[in-house]
Amino acid sequence: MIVLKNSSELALMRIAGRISAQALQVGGEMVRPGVTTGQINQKIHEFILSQDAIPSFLGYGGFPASACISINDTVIHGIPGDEVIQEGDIVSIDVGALYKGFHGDNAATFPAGRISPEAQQLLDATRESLYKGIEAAVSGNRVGDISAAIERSIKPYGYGIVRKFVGHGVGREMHESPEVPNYGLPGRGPRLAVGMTIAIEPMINLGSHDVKILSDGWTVKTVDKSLSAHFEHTVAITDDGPVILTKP
Amino acid sequence: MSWEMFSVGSVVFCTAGHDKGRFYVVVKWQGDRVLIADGKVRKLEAPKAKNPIHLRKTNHILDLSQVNTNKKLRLALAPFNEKGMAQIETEGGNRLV
Repeated sequence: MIVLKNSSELALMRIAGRISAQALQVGGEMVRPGVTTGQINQKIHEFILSQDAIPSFLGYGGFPASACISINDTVIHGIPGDEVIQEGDIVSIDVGALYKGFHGDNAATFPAGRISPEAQQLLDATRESLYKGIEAAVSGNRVGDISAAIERSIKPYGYGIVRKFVGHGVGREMHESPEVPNYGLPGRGPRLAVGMTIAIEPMINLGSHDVKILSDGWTVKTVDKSLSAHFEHTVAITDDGPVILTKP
Repeated sequence: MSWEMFSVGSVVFCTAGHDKGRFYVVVKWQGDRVLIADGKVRKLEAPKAKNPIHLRKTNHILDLSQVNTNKKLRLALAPFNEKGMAQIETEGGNRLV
């Protein structure tokens, strides 16, 4: 069942989204060589609590931290710890905040120092595909239109689009229906309606789309050890078109 | 935080192909395909490779270490096929059945 939100619920989601986006900013500003992922997680955790919100990820399904921090070939769900960021790394931070019963969810991949042109192009292409997906998130379209827009945007680069993990509805639950894959056919899937709130999140690999889950049950890495980028926004479908809720 | 489309053991509903309209369990991922079985037409030892866009998620997961024979799998999926997709929970977290 897809849950629609009314205007007062959307107002709360806007706040949850703002806090999530600001937390992402806090994390992004810390990305530089020499910093550990644990330090970034700690700052994000403190920031979310300072905003009277709760980190959505902490304890979700047993996840042990407030942010997922994934470096280079780690696609998503990296557990922050003692890993030190190196010059030339790309660092994906995924963070969500729960405010008065509603979740915000967003992610971005940040460069640490100077990165290779290939890595920069991967980041730019993934970010661009997210915005192409958001453009397609209008009432009357179907979920497949978002998926197809992302796939179309990535195809010319020949990158691998992660299939095993997808975007999702978001609201009172962190993960609600519908699933929002980053690949698919236009005109398929559930129809988008005013009041729906979804997290659109392309996860794009420089090489193959194949991923594996490590034995910790969380960390997802590319099988061919290629770099991976991840950008995400929580988006509301409104009469005036898609509105990005996760804006600082 | 992204959503795992179908983890191993997930009960899924087929929306296309010969398997359309029935419930299956995810046995494993094979590249970009999902291998599904129902213990009847598609046995555990010979699961069917499906494109994941032709499957719908439920929030139920079978413990495949318990449901390890075709007979047990048929029994586990029977309540789903009796109820139909409209009656099956698809919200919230996954729960073991």
